[in-house]
Amino acid sequence: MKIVLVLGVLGAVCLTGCGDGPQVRTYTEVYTTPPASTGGPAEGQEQMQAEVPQLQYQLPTGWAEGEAKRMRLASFASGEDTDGSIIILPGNAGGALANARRWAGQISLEWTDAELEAFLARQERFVSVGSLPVVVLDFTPALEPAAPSMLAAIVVVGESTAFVKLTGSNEAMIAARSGFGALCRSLTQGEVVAERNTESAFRWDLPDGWEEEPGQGMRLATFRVTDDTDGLCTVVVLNGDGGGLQPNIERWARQLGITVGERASEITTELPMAHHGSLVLVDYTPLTPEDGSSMAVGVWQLAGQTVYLKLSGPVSFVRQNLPGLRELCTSLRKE
Amino acid sequence: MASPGLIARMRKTKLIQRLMDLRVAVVCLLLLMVLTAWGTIYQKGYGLWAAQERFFYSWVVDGSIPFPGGRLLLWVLFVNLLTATVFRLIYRWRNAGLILIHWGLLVLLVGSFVTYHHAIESNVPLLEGEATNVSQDYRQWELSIWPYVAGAGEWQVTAIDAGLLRAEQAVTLEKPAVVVTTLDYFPNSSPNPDGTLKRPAEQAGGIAGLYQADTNQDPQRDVPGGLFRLVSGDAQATVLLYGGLVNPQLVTLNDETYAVQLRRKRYSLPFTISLTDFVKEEHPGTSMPSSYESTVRVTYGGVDRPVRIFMNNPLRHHNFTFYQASFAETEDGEQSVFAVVENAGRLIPYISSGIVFFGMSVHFLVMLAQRRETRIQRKMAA
Repeated sequence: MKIVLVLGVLGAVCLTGCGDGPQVRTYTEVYTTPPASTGGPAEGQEQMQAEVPQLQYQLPTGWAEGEAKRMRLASFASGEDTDGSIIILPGNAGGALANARRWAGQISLEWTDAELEAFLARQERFVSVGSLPVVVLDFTPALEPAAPSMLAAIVVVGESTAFVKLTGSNEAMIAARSGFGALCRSLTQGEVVAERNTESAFRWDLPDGWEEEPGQGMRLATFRVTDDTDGLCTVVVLNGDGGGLQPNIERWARQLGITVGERASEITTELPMAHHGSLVLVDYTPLTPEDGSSMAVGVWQLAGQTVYLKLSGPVSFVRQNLPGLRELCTSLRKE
Repeated sequence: MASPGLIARMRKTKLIQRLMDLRVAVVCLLLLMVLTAWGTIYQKGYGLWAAQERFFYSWVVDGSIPFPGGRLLLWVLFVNLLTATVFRLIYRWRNAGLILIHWGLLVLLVGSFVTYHHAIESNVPLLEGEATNVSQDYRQWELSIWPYVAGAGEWQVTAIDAGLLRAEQAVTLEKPAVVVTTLDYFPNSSPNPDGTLKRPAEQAGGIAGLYQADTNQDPQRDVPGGLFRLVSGDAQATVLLYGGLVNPQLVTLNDETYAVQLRRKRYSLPFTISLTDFVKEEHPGTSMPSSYESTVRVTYGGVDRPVRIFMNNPLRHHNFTFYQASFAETEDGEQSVFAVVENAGRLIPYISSGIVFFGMSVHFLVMLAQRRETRIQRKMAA
């Protein structure tokens, strides 16, 4: 009896070891694609759009606006056989490395994490006119002209992350690079464009050594400091109170990776305005690490409108040009 | 049928006595404890797969000081337990509990062998609204070929396991009637126009070239590629395939268009699963998920039923178990990822636990009866 049991157990053990080797197999595969949106937002998308911030942008000349579908805030194309999208997701959506790895995989670039990190370190970083930190991922140098390619940008929008993506042949992507950069630089967060530059009722006096460029979208103007291209200054007008002063102070601090806490009074200064009330100047340089990016923002609240004058760039640039920003702020008037 | 005399004679041999030595079991259990602790710490830095391979699936743990691997220890423990069960235990009613406990433990070890050799781990990523009846392996690959019909939602796939893709080896397929010859195959590759394998002139799309890359410690990170010749009748085509490409390459032979793809090995599921809804909840004020769950529709045999899958609530269907593994937010919508385990031996641990529990209960009752009997005998003697 025992021997029978032993043989039974050993037989069972031996059978378990008989795995299948490599072989030719056939099977029926069924696959149903997700239903495409028929125009309106997908189920649940209305709620999501209410929770995540909205973005404003300016498409380069010659680019076509497309229909926003599913999770897309916007669709666009730089030319034939290209597809662009802007989506915004809560949180960091996996982080830059994970998204870069996924995108690289989509265009057949199987890079190691070390290669991806080196790639990320080489990519262009800047702050958009809406003070949103942007990193542009340019995959074009790694691909041949006809290969599928991509330009992508990761934009930090408060607690959310926006992804701007353009896909097409590498030739098309190389041609679209400057336009894609301009699109990313134009990104701003907010509601509705208030008044365009040409129709603007706002006037200001240009500080010495500053140059003015025409604005786009809700941006009334962009200022650059002659011989110093590290940073820039923008004037933006939003309808309403723009979300309130205190929430904006906190939001900008998060964009810079710092916390304000009880030091809000230390970084805010009230400047009397000749024409209407006072302007609050928020200077983040005392809280910013010496090797980091910083920002100084003048906020002028009017009846039904709020004007933001943002000076952004490396902390040394902001500190050096703070007198110019003060001069610009106090000269601001509505005619 | 072996006679009790044979068992008794064998029990006296040195070999059997060493094999069934209780000290062997104790040492094995102690070493397994060390191995478990070591493997757990190792897993933190090197990942689950590497820890499993190095500590639990190996005969010997490689290193400066050789250490027995989990596979060796479990085999020694199994042989020790089997010989003890057969030769040391005396088969009489008062030992019924002990005998059951030993057999229960043997069943448990057999179950682990079944799971090791036959369990298949794969995954199914699904977007909301997407449906499929196959899962994909984490590490194994296949060359798939099927007649291409644009817009079709169902197709008959013939797949060649990557183990058969060796240079200059031909595989003859019956349906479709195509001979696939591997001209070169890299288990891990990287696309590069200057690579050693070039895209043939007749190939319409795909990547320009491939070069061979070193394989990774975890094969999950390997992406194979290769150059293949497809022959059907008097027509032939050469195609460069790369596992990193999402879409198949289209090859036309004798007016028939075939989709050819190097992709992760697919396993047929006994049903079609579609993702109806995915819900993620976050900790208040953060973007950290506190919980996530999927509602899927499972369709089989004309039955269509909704199932909720969330943490500790997997979908079980015959030998298949679907766990909510992870999720992703993509441009195309929310994607839920299910870990799929097909395990023919999934009930064995429950059966063995039942046998062991029953054996312990019997042993407890026998011991109780024995004590009572002893007490009565003492009273009688007094």
